[in-house]
Amino acid sequence: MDNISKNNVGKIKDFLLFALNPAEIVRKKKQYNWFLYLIYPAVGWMIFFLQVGLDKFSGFRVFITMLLGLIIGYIAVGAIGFLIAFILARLGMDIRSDQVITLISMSHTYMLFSVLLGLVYRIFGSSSASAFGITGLLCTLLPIYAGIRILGKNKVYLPPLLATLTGVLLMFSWQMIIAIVS
Amino acid sequence: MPKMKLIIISAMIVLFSIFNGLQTRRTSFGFKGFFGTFIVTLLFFAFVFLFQTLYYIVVSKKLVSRGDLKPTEYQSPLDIWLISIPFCVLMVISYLFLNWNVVQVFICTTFALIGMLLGNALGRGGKKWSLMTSLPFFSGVIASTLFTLLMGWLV
Repeated sequence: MDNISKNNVGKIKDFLLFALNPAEIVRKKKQYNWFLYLIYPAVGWMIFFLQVGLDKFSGFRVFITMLLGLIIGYIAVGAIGFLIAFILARLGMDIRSDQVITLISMSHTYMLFSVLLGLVYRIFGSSSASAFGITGLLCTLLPIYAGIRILGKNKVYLPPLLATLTGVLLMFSWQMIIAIVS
Repeated sequence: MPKMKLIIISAMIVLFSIFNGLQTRRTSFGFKGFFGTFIVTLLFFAFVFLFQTLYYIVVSKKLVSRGDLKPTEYQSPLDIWLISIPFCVLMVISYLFLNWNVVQVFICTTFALIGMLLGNALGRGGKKWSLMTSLPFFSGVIASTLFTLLMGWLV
């Protein structure tokens, strides 16, 4: 029983550490349950698309938009993680796909904060979902950049280029959700 | 190598300014259309870049000489500025392909995040708080606030 609770405390500690400093995921080189970590960005996307839905639609379509945000958020972040891991592996970097997916997932902490602030702002003021969403997206790219930078300090242009690719794919995934529900 | 990085960063500053000017023309029909916003953004961005970079160079030299910053931990400020590549690309894509008029959000976030990164590279967040290492962070926040106020007044 004690071992189980210690194990859980360890996992929560790891989660908090990774949420605050996602680059640690690359340093620690552990095996990660990436499919669980993907829930984290999916929740962020859901909150963001709740605001987008409230801005653009009403009734059931708001719920559909939110649900699509959750599902596509989960799938898109996972797929982008696999793609970045594949590119890094082709470039000879020592990293696995579960690490990359977990890194990208946990980098969404800043986005989660940003969209939650957006939600509060919406309650007390007017809506500016896109401004809070974009700020969150840009903040998400920083830990991804930092994580890739750890892998190869001599490759100056690789982290910004891969962060760019990640950002572009995330942005087009957003646009895809908006196109589906519109 | 630094020359190439400087060219890339300068190109990004010009791009940010062009798209801010274009957005003003698209969203407001005022007399201060493209050129007013373009020039103001260019000058403001160039000033922030020069201030933050030069401050970082001066302070990091001071910290290294005092032994507060290890020479092996020193990061080039231009390398830090390169993180704005994705911001610039996303700004162009969101404006051209997604029709999102949020160029100023990209510019303000760039100021704030670069300031934070420069501060972190100087050792901000260490055991002892110091204004010298935290100033790049504050300068980023102040620059983004001033830029928002300036654009609110201009556009």
